[in-house]
Amino acid sequence: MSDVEDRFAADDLSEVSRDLYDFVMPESGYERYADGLSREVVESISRKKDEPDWMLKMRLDALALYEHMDMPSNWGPSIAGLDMSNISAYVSPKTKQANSWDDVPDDIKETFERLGIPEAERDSLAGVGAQYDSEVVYHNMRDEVAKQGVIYTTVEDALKEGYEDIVHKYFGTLIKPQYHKFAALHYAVWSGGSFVYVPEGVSLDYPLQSYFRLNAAGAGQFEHTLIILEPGSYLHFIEGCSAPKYNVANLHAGAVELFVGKGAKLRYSTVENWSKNMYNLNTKRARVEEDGSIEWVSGSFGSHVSYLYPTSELVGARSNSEYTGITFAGATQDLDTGCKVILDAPDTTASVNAKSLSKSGGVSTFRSSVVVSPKADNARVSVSCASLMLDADSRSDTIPAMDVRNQTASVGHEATIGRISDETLMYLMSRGIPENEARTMVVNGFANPVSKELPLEYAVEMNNLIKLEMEGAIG
Amino acid sequence: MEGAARLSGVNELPTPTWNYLHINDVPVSVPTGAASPSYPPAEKIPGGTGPEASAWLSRSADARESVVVTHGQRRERPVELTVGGKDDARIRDTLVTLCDDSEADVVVVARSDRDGDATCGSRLRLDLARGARAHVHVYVAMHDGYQYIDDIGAALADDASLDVHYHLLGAGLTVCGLRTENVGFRAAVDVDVRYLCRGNQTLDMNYNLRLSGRKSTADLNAYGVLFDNARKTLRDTIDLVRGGKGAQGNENETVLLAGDGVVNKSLPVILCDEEDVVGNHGATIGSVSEEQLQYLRARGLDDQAANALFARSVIDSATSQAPTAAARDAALFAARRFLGDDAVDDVLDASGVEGKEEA
Amino acid sequence: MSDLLSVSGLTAGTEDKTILHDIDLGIEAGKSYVLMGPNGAGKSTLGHVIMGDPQYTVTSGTIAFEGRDITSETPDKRSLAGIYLSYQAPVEIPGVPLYSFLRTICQKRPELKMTSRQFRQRVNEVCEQLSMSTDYLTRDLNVGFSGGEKKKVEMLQLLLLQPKLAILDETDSGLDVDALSVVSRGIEAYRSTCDGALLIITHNTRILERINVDQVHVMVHGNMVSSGPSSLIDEIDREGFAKYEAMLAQKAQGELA
Repeated sequence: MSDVEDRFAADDLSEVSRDLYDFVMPESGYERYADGLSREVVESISRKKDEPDWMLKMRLDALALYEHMDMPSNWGPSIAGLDMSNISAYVSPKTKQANSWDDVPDDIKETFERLGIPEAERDSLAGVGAQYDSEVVYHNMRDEVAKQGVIYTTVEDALKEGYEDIVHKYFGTLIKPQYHKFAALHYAVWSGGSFVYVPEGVSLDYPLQSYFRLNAAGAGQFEHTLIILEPGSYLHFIEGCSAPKYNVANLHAGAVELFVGKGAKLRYSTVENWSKNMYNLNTKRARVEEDGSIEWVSGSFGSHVSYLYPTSELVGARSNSEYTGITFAGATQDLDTGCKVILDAPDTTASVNAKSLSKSGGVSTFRSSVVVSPKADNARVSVSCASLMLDADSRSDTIPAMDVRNQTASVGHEATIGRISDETLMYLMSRGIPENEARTMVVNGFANPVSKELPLEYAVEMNNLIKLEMEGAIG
Repeated sequence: MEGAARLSGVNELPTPTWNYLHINDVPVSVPTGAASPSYPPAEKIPGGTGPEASAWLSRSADARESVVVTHGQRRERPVELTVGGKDDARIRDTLVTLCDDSEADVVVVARSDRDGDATCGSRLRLDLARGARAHVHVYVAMHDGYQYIDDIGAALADDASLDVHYHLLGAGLTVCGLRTENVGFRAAVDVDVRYLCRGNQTLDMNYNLRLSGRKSTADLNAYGVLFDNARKTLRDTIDLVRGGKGAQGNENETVLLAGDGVVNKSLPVILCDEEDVVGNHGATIGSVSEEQLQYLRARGLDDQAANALFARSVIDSATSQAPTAAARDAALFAARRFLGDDAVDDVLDASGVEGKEEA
Repeated sequence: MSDLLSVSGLTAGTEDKTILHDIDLGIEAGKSYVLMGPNGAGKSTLGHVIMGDPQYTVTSGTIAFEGRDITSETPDKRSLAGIYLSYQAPVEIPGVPLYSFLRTICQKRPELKMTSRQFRQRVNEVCEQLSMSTDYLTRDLNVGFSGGEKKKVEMLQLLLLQPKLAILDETDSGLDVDALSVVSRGIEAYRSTCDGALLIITHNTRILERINVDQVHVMVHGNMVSSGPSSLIDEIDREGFAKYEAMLAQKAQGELA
């Protein structure tokens, strides 16, 4: 109860402003590779990371694939404004990775302080990784978590610190470079990200969080997240991201590969707040073994264009996938989001609960696919999506596909679209709430099923982002 | 000598989704005949199966008709469009123009006397002026060697209303596309789809209901049963076009899966480019629930009999609603195939239709 | 003494049709009024028009509150000025917990400033007064509440906001005996704690048994046809509205002639 109260109280008190995210730090002294893609760029990245030969080979194979694959052309928002020859694939601040904020250069440290990361780390996280442009500049985890055998580092460091076998076994197996053109691009130039390994039976009381900040104009961020949960373990992983706004296109093409072992449970939460010049072409995929569970909690607020569909492959009996997501498309945004679920084992279950909002000419598309294979006896799926139109300039589409190939399966789908009713506004106004606040209140209520799945400070951040959008303050 | 051509973009979703799902359209091969393939002209009233299929039907038609129902007239006899039978046309191309406040029934029946390997089809355009009312029935019941393409396009002016009743009761491949454009104020479309699909039959449907008129409405209900290795795709789109203030669209689908090898694809799409609108979608895909089965077992029905009971409801609807003799024959043909010969008399009794089948 | 609320010559309706015809109504501070009339008389519409519901348009006449013309003010301003309308069918708002809603509407009123602890205490008191479980406070506003529960939530807001004028729109409709007595208690509590004025809109008289009514107004077909002392209630209870309908018809004929 007090929790509920606090969430709304916080929303009342804080004066939010876009300045919170939209500030630029100088780039002087940075190592920045030439714009565009070439074998030379790929080899330079690999050389800099001093990585094993198989990784370099994988990068070069992916580059070759990228050069031959077509852009998706017949569906989704246009990415015509994105020209890889104007994007630098690698930008690195001149600093070593630190495990104390005191060792992080002042401007970068200030960036993360303004975003509240060190504070959150002290209060409520088991560990934090912070990436600035192409490299992780800070990484730390509480001692007691490390003692349980949990590994939380970057993929690069995992390769050097004796976990090469594990990385080799899993890296690039769930999201293959052939998956689509931007997956190929990712594998050619990936840099930074997270490697998490949770041993059998270990349950983390506090979340781990990685935060991604893209500071450089005209740059790409290609971090790779690889999480392995051994049987019976539990982890809540949070990723946050933001960037200042530029007049040139920025690109984010990360990859997130999640391996959820038998009876393990992974919650993966994202509050995405890229600036509105960002092309967010991100790929996330989880494979879940018997009795395991993946929970996606996703708030998409930023980016100019997004293609984002976390995918769950349920390969073990009784495994489960839950997706709870909200997308808010404001001015200049075309956000194509949703999820995919593949039920490929008996007694698997999945639920999809999606909300979307469109305002000030924004375009929001909810897109999903649910595939029930012949092996998925007694599979149970429910899909629910609700869209709210906030004005007549905007657009909202709902495109859910279902492919069911097992007669014992049961799939339910419901979708609604509409606007805030006049009756609702009148009721709230008759109690003394001005119209714009009444609208924000209804929208926050609409988003509540998502925000209540997030830890408090992220729920507050999400409410603030909604408030910013409602005020039209995000440019 | 007839060659074969592959039509592209048949029953294409208005807004495509992932290609790898192979769900955006349906591959259809048709005989080319003497006509050479050409680019389809833009149509005033487009149909639901897409430009290529529509143009092919138009080019290949062996029966063409234009029916005009004059101002305020209620046409007594339905416009009967029967294809596939011994003395029937193979492909029909029909335009029905309904003037202000007129009303007409249109009955499309696709049937076959014996198994063969022909492609039959109907291209139907409905132009509804202010206050006009059209009632369309489509019956498809053919042998498995046939493929049938049904293409309907309709435009509705102010206060016009259109209801379409589909009974899709089998053919090797049934392609069924409907596109309606509610241009007018308070124009209303009501679509009721019932289908049965068995063996290796494929049923591919594309319904695109566009609401551009103020306070216009569209409702779609689909119910069907899939047996054996039947494959069915239903794309149903409500398109809330900008300018259609106060428009409402509702769609609901129930599919019963009653076969080991069935493939069911559903794409319930809502496109919304207007604020003051309401759109709802519901879909239920699955088998007869264990509870229902238990109840029916307690009444002495085994699971197969239970599934037949649900199929029976589609057949009963087909016979009881059949507006013409040809439609009723098609329904009885399907009754025999899905329920067996013994069931036919029973179905006849239930439908309250007198007499024996016509030859 | 000048009126708290003064409606004069008010004609209003929807886009398609006029519902209220040339209505005059005066309400003095601290007094209680009953507005009666058959179904469809326009009583609820009058309540909503006083509150400023934009689905109705005022074509002529004025509404003044404490001497100030509020005819074109938005509902939130009227609410903050001290008018409260209890809804006949309160709206459901998913995702907004009742408690935070109550806190928000109270914080809009400087005169109700209190700490969050004081507020919590106050809400608990009122809940007890209304025999309402505090479990409702964490639930979404009105979502899945029964008719009786929704009415209690309306009373809860009334007692927290302590408006100068409370318009209760069919607050008694659809309630069982227990809920009705709770609502009556709420009305008494409102009258005794803040001496607010009351306009009860109803078409049945049960709820009025426990309330001291100063004046009764009768509406028929959107017209104010009569007013009188509380004894009118018993009379209407016995004889219905036929007499008033006849009065209106006569008046209309008179105008024609």
